[in-house]
Amino acid sequence: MNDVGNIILSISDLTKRYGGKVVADVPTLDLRSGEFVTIVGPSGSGKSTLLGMLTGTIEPTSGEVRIRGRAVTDLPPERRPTVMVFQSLALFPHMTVGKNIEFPLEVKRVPKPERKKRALELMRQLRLPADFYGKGVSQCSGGERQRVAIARALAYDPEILFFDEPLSAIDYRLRKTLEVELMDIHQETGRTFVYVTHSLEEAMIMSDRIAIMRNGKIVQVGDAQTIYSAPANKFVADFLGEINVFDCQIRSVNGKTVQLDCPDVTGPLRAPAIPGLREGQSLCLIVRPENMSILGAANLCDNIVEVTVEHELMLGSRIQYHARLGKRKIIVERLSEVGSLVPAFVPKEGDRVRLGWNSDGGILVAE
Amino acid sequence: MAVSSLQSNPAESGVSLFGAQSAAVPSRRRRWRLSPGLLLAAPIILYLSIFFVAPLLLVVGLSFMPSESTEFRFFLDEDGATSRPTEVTLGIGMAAQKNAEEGVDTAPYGGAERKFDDMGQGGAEAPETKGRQIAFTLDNYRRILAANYDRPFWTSIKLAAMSTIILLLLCYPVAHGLAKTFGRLAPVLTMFFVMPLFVSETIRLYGWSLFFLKGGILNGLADLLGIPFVEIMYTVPAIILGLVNIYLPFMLFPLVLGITLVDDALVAAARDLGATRLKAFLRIQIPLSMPGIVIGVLLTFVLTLGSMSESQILGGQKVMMVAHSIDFTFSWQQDWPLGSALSVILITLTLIAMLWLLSRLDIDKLFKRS
Repeated sequence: MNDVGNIILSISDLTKRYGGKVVADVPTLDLRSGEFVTIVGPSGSGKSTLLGMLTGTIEPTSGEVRIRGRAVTDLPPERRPTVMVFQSLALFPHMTVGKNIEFPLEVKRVPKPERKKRALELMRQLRLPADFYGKGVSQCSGGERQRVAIARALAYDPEILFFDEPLSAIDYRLRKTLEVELMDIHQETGRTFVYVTHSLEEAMIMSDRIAIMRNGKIVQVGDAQTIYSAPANKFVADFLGEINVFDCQIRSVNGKTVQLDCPDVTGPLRAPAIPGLREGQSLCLIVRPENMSILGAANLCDNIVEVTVEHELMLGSRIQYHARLGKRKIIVERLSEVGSLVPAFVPKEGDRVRLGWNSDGGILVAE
Repeated sequence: MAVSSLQSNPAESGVSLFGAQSAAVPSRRRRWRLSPGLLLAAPIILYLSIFFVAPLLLVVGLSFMPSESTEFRFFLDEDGATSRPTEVTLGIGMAAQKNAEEGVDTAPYGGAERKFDDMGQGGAEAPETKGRQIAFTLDNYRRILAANYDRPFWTSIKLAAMSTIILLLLCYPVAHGLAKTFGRLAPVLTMFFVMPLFVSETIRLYGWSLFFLKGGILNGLADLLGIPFVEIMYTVPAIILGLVNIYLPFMLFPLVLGITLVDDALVAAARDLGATRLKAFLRIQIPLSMPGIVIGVLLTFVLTLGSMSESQILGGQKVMMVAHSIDFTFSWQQDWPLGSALSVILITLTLIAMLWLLSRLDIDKLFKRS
């Protein structure tokens, strides 16, 4: 597509209230043509409401949705140039694969031979064998069903495809395969994909950009790398998965490093400075388990805390330790030493050990 | 195969007590014996075979008996007499026993089916039957065609079809509401639709006739409002009204079930793909609620086809439906074979309607859809 990168959908001041409760409040969001955008958030974060307003099934309380500059806020779903792939895929069980794919064309009164031609074309594009045309949808496997659903959506010739957690009910291994497949389909079709999920992992794997929602608001928009390396706040950091969070107060700022006071930790912790810090400010210091290490007696580090090891979890390539620091749980990881030349220091459950990390291994975020 | 392995089992089990085969065979035997489905179905199978299959066979048999006979048998008496009034109530078993006592019938004391077999195989060869006249005749069926006895059938089919169509059109929107949109109101409304079932059909029909009769409630209301009163009592519309009223739940509830089975996401998906409300309804909801439609249509059609009180009470004697005509033939006319023949035709018609409708769709497939 020649207009890749142009703004295809924009939102301004979109809100939805039920009674007095604000369930979605999105001041602005722009989607670019050909992009794979994922809206991610825990249940109740308003992501489904936002999706509903984008597809037309939910009427916003206020605000506007524009597609290519044209306001579509008041249009019902069937009159919008967008199409939704449902969580259940919503394939019509009484129709064959071919008839399912042809459905949007049938509705548009496209002549029969042309319909079939287009359906077979889409099936080829989505790598569905041509003999599936007459097959019942219940005879298809999970992956095939997903491809039929996408082919049917593409037959509508939409500007944007919306996906409502189509992979959430599928077992882990198939989900991994389908995620990759969906990325390939996005590449091949060049359409704009908007995907909604509660799994940040899924979002990070597939999307060009991720919008993280919480309590009806978008808290951060960015690519996977940005969100991982610079989470906007503690919520996003927490949402990223297993992570250590220290609630701190700034003791002093010295150029590029900050000294922090943290309860349960003797001595200051050091972290790289971020703009706009002042002394006494409360912040969160985030340290990833893989950035921490268990120190031997002779090792030195910028930051050292002493903890009690409670659990040892074998994760295959890594071993994870759950340790206790006061009331706080600390997670630390090391590579399992299978095949390793230097045997690492191996703590046992109940041991007191020293954990250390250098100051650049920590990230300061707002509370 | 099962039989042979069962026979060889005792010899085998002594040799290879732990062999795979000897272990497998007893378990198969036990499984068959304790099949819970068969066990649970046994009482109803027994019940149906005594109180449904046996009378049904008797009726089928009687329908082939000469006019005015009151029992079922294979041969006419030597004097050609067809009627033995004293045995009216004794039916098939006693008649057969009597024949056996007289030494005219070699067939063992047993069911009608068995005797039919004997008839077919050895009727002509058996020396005892020489010179006897076989009792079977198609006279009753001929009489039905010749003497306009087929008219009640057409009346019944017409009325049943009309009330079924009216019920379908009437109930589908209500069923849709009950299944999808009424929400918490649905159970209350369901109660209202169920409640009439607690009142006897006859009482409800007499209620209707009090309402419609000249000088009845409708008449009074019309007079009060100064509207001319239209007498609809004893007309076809009155019967249809009665049928629609009585059989409404039999259409409504299967439809509710059928519509409940339709996944809302499918209709939403169709709309999202550009289908209008009507298109989504015709292409998605109707086909997917077809099991409910078929069951509802089948129930109401079969029940209205065999209904009697509606035409008797609301239709007077002007319109005769087939059940009424059968009743008349058995009781007033005392012509059991003719009544049986009418019954057999009615049952066959019902069966054809049922098989035709059921063959229109694979209910199993629709119910098990993924």
